[in-house]
Amino acid sequence: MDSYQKATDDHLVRLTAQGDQEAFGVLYERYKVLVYSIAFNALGDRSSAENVALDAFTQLWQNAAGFNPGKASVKTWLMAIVRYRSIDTIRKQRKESIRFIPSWDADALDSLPDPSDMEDEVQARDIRRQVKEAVAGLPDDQKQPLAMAYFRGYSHSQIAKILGLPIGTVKTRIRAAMRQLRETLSELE
Amino acid sequence: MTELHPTDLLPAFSLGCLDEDEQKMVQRHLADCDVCSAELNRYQEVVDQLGLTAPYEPPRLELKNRLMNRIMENEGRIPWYERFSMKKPGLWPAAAMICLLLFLFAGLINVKMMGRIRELENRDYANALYISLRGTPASSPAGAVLIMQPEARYGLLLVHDLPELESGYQYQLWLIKEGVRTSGGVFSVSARGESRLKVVSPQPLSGYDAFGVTVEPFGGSDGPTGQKVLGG
Repeated sequence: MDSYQKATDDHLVRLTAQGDQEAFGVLYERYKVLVYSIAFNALGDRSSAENVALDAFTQLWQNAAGFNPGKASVKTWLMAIVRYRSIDTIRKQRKESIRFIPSWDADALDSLPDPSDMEDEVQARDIRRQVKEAVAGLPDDQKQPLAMAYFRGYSHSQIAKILGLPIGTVKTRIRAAMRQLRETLSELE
Repeated sequence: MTELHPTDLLPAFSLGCLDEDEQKMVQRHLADCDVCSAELNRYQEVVDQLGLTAPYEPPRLELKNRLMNRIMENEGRIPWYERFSMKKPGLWPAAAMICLLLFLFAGLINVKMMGRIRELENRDYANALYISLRGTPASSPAGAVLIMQPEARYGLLLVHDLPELESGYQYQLWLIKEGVRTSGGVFSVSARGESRLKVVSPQPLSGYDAFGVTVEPFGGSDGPTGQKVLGG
């Protein structure tokens, strides 16, 4: 059991591809908070977020054999899956009228889950801290449209309509936010 | 956006928030532009990390149970050979080797069994008794052979060259001992005059004095009533 806890993500995915439920369970424990948090922040309700998280992990279980560690990390892969699944759910539910607006995490780093001594985990926590700081450094009027685009999958025109802003303003703010994030994060690499 | 490259649209494209017409235009451009593809990758790396900043929200404990139940249900819908293939891809060579060994083992057993059967057959034929029944002047060149084991209550009568009978008539075998005739069965012959009759008797066939075949009404008689065609 201890060896599973110390195994790398790539190794756990390989074991998962062979039907190892224990390895899959360890991956779930590692990423359940991240996956569920993305889904919950996108959808705004617990039931839908749970269904999306279930779908994302089920997809991991079913497609583990096709995972290519050369293309992306397990974490990145899972984040992409849960994001697209969340956006699909939003589009099917047509919840634009609800106008749920997601947010970025402003919590202190002490609240992060899954403390671990593993080098990979420490590095992962460091990356998360850097990304959080980069987002926190954005002007407030850029954070909101960026969150709506990332978590909800809204288009420029949808965001403009919801926020009551000219579409050109939304385009400018999202473009500026992304450029600033790219510069900030590339400096940290 | 420059005249040549839609660089201003790439950040939004990486997020997937362009409206449809702009999205299609960028897609067409990216298909042939390595410069913009490389630029897009840099924005994509940012998008890949944004999920890390979702506010911390732990799922309920029962979610794991639901997940594990779901994957076990899915397992049940997948044929066993696909599950085996997915889960144990490295075991296929071993499985194939086991199948080959089982096949060879089954073949070996089969060869041994055939040898044993032949041995038993040879032993039976070696001890078998053969009684020839010859045709009468009226039925010549007809004949028959009755094959039996010394103490067995059954045997096999092989008949040749007996003429086909009119409908309503059959040949009947008689087992004769001390003048008493017991029916050994009735039979008809093929167009070639051949027939095989499995003979079952109340006592060992080797204990009878003689055997005969007569023409009898269809289904046989209690005692001989018709013309004798074979005897021995």
